[in-house]
Parts: sequence; C-alpha cells; structure tokens
Amino acid sequence: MKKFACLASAVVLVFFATAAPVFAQTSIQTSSQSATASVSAMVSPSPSPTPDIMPQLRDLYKNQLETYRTDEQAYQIARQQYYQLQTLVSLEEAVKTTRQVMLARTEVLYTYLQMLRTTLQQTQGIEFGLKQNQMNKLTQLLIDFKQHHVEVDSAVDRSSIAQAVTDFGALQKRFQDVSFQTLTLISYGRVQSVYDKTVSIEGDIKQHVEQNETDALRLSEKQRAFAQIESTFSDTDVLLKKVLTNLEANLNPQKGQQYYTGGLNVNDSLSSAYGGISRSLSFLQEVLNNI
Amino acid sequence: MAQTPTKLPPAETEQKDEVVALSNQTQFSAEEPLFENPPSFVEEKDPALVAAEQKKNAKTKKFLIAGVIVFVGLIVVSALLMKPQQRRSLLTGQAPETQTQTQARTDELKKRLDEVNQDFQAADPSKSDLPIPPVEMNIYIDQPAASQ
Repeated sequence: MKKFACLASAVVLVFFATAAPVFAQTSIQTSSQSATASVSAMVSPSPSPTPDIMPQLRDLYKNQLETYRTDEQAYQIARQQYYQLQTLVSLEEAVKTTRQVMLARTEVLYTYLQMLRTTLQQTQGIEFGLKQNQMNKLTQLLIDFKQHHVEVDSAVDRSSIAQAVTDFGALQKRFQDVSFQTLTLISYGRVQSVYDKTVSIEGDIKQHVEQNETDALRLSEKQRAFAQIESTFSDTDVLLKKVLTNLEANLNPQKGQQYYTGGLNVNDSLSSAYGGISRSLSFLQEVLNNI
Repeated sequence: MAQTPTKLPPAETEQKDEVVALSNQTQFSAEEPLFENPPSFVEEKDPALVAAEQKKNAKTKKFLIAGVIVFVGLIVVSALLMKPQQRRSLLTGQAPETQTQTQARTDELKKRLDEVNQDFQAADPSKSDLPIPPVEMNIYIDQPAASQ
C-alpha cells in the first residue's frame, strides 16, 4: 500500500512538472489574445463607411480656385473701368463681373468647407461629442453658403449686389471662426491619434524585449529605457488633456464667434505634446534597433 | 450355474453409501451447513522470513523516496541553471520563441513603428494640408457701410 502511495506521488509530481506549463500556456495565451483584441479594437482604425471623396473634392477645389482667379481679374478690371469711366455700360459690366466673382468665391468656400468636414470626419483621436458638435456647425455653415449662392445668383442689379455683399460680411466671420476651430480640432485629433498608437506599440515592444532578452544586465538597461519613455508619455498625456479641456470648454454651440482673434490658444500645448511624441518615437526606434 | 450374491465387506458398503449420498444433490444441498464460515487456517510465518520481507520493503521504499528527491532536485537545479527568458517562459507557461520567430516579430514591430512615424510626420500641428482659401473677402462695387 505504501509502495503504491509512493508511486502515485511520483506520478503526480511528474505530471505537474510536464503538464502544468501546458495548461498555464493555454490560459495565458487565451487571456493575452483577448487583451490584444480589446487593445487593437481600441487602437485600430475603424473602416470608413463611406468611400473617400477627398481626392474628388481636392480636384474640384483646384478647378474652382482657377475659375475664381480668372473671374477675379475680370472683376478688378471692370471695377477700375467703372470708377474711371462712370458710364452705364461700365456699370453693367462691373455688376456682371462682381456677381460672377462672388459666385465663384462662394463655390470655392463651399468646397473648402466640404473638405474640412470630410477631413474632420476621417480624423481619429477626437472625442465623439466634440467632433459631432463641430460637424453640425460645418453643416449649418454649408447650408448658409448654399443660400448665399442662391442670393448672389439672383442678384442682377447694383442694389441687390450691395445687399449680397452686406450679407456675406456676417457669413465671412463665421466661416473664418468655424474653419479655424475645425483646423485646430483636426490638428489635435491627429496628434492624439499618433500618441495613442505610440503608447500601443511601446507596450508591444516592451513585451517583446522582456520575452527575448537573455542578458539580465541588458534587460535591466532596457527596462530603464522604457521607464524613461513612459515618463515622457506622462508629460505628453498631461499636455494633451490640457488641450482637450480647452477645446471642450470653448467649442460649444454657445461660443464660436470669438476665436479667430486668438481665443482658442492651444497651439503651444499641442506643439509641446508633438515634441514629446517625437522624443518617445526616437527612443523606441533606438530600443528596437538594439534588440 | 446360478451365482449367489456375494456379500461385500462392511468398509466397501460404507464407501458405496457415501458415493450415493454425494451424488444426490438435493440431499447434499440440504445437508450443507448454512452461514457457516469456512475454517481458516492461520499460517504461521517464519519470523526470519517476515523480517527479511520487511527489510526488503523498507529498502524499496527508501529507493523510491531517494528517486523522488533526486527528481525534484534535478528540476530545481535545472531551473536555477536556466537562462532568464527560459525561466520566465517556464513560469509563465509561454513557449520560448525561436530565433526566426524573434526576428520576424522584431521586423513586424519595426514596420509598425515606421507606419507610426509616417502618421507622426503628417500630424505636425505647425503644418496644415488645408490652408484657408486665398480668396478676396472684400468684393464689392460700392464699398459696404460696415467696412468703411
């Protein structure tokens, strides 16, 4: 009986020595796979539901800008002639060319706003609410520009042109504000997105190094390097949160008419965050080259 | 010549009766004592043999215990002599990567880092791929009152 017990304990020992790592490997692989899946779900770009229309918009914008330049030259000449000649014919020509150049300008600005909206939609790293709010502003502005186009198109005399010019004044201010805000938001989103990707790849490189480094001395050296990189991440994260707080505080529907003159001042923090990411990427490149 | 029946001797008669009785199964089962334990015969062992057997068992047990100790000792020593990443892989249960796998993973990470670098170049906040259109905002025949 005792002999049997001894044999059984020996068998159990051998089983644990050989089979336990296999079970552990399976469970760790499963948990690491789920973690990777969740991280990659968080980090990987979501497929755009609509086809990319940016190339077409860029081509259209280029053509419209050329047309605008030609029309603007004609307008400048006609206006000069009218000021010099002060005849009905020159006035008629001035009204005609002014209308034409105003139409061309509205088309250029309309397409530009469409490009801004598409780019904003495609930019990752922006909080959903913030992005949606700005998209709504752009959509409303596009509607207003369309109405302005109709107004200019129907303006055939001097007084109606003058009215269209006055109406464009308010539209121009909104155009500048919303464009500036959108450009700032796009810049922030791009930097935030690159930061997220850098943090993700740093985790993977660290895991890879820890799994494959044979020399304990070199391993501790690399762990110190990763500590330095993570410290840089902390600084960058603080800066990006500061930018986000500023954007959230200012880009709401109640505000939006006062930032073109410098109210939305996030450029310094954004540039510092960009510099931090640059340092982190250089460090990571260095670590990866020394594996 | 008629033969007279021979009278069997008493011993033979008794044997014959016994055979008859045994061949009668009904009688046999009826006569069999019920619930009676069969007699046990205690075998008297030779104390010298018993001592020898105990000694042999103890020896085997000792060998087994020594074997287990040596086995466990070997595992401990081999774990101590392992390279750090082998020990880690044993503890975590992850199979150690081969040289080719390591290189492939390094290359994959380098490729990903290059892609992030490209995104980084495109994300420069000091550069914009969508500058404000270079159009004249003040187009008019008669200068509007607001801008005078």
